[in-house]
Amino acid sequence: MSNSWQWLFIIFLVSSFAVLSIVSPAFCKETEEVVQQGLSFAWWMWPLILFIFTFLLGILAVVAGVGGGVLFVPIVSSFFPFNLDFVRGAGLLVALSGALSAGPGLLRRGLANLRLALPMALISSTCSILGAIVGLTLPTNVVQIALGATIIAIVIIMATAKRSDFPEVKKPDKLSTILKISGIYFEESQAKEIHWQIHRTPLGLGLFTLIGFMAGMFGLGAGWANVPVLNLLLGAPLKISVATSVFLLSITDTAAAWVYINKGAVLPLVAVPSIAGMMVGTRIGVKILAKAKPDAVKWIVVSFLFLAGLRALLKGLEIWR
Amino acid sequence: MKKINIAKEQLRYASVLKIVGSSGLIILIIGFIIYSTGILPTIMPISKTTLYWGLKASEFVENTNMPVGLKVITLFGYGDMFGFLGIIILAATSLICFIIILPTFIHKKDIAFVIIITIQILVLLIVISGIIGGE
Repeated sequence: MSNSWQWLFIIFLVSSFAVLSIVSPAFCKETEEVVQQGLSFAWWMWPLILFIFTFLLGILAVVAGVGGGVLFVPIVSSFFPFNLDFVRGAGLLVALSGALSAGPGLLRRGLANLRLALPMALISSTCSILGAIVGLTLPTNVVQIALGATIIAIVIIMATAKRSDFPEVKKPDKLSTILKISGIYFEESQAKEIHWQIHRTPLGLGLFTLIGFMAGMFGLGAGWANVPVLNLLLGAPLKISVATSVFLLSITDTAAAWVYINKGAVLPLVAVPSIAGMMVGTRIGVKILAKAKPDAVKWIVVSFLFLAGLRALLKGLEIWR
Repeated sequence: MKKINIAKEQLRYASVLKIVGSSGLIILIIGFIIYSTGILPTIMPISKTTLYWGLKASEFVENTNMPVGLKVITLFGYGDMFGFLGIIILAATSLICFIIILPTFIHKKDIAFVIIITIQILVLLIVISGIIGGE
């Protein structure tokens, strides 16, 4: 979307929620019921709180440089009353929406690469279907334990993984040569064209089976895993890796999302405010990023993510209910 | 910024992604407004949803008898089902992109990618239909 459309969309979203909360007869009737019955929350409070919460999460995700998808599931499942199935379904759609809206620009600028993404996407999307089926079949506490352990592992990866702007690939492997996976992009910081190619493609494809499975099972965005594999293992430049990872998510999460939709694990009441909040938040986050100190924020968010992972683990083990 | 030559199929994918993805997001919000304001009748009242959203998805479907998957398409006259329209468009965006770029690869006789994209389309069609991962 162009800038004017983006802002129009943001204004439309915010005003829609504001208008809804003030004038809707359905809301007013519901409020009366709540007052009469003495309930703590009207139903519409939850989507509103969720919208505000994910809006803040979206800002933090951008400023901290951490994917919104990976923050959403552990944190929302810790604070909200929805079953983990619905949180994971919404998490997939949050990551999918972000990837879909960023994808066109990244593809047009040549930063996301179709030839690099498609073979990986085929493997990861197929495995994400399997992950989603397994995740929805297992008891909630087992998924909680696995989610908690995964989040803690992600925090460790985030804290320790190195990145390489321009990894050296002396010779492309046979498979990437057959598939003609290589490209050129314009590196603004150096004001020159960068030619890139990749190696170790079969190993990369193997790892994407695991990444896809986990993305489907936990409803997490998989940027935390895609980027190191594309950048450090396959040898794609960092910018190409980050952009292609975002684009890859749009395909991986699509496949898994259909399992969640077909199994009834997607509730518009949970998914839509989350998508809207996260999208508005990330756009505001981009503006704040110019003035913020990302390093400090990143460590606060990563620590918060670690606590959310720990809580999921302890919740699954029934130590912390 | 210097102009880089981007492959035709990549640009085509980007165009379709932009049109379908943006439409999906706008329809998602419109659908939610229609759903939450009660403009259309609902199969299950919204307030009742909150009573069941703590259950596992399988238990939720069992207790509420709510239609799932592609069944909702035939029920868009109901507000709660209309709320799914944007979600379905977003989830179908990649499939539409693949179907549109496939002829470009066929025209270029890029056999490896014709096979990859064809398998990808089949995988998505299978999961969308619910043959795998359905109810």
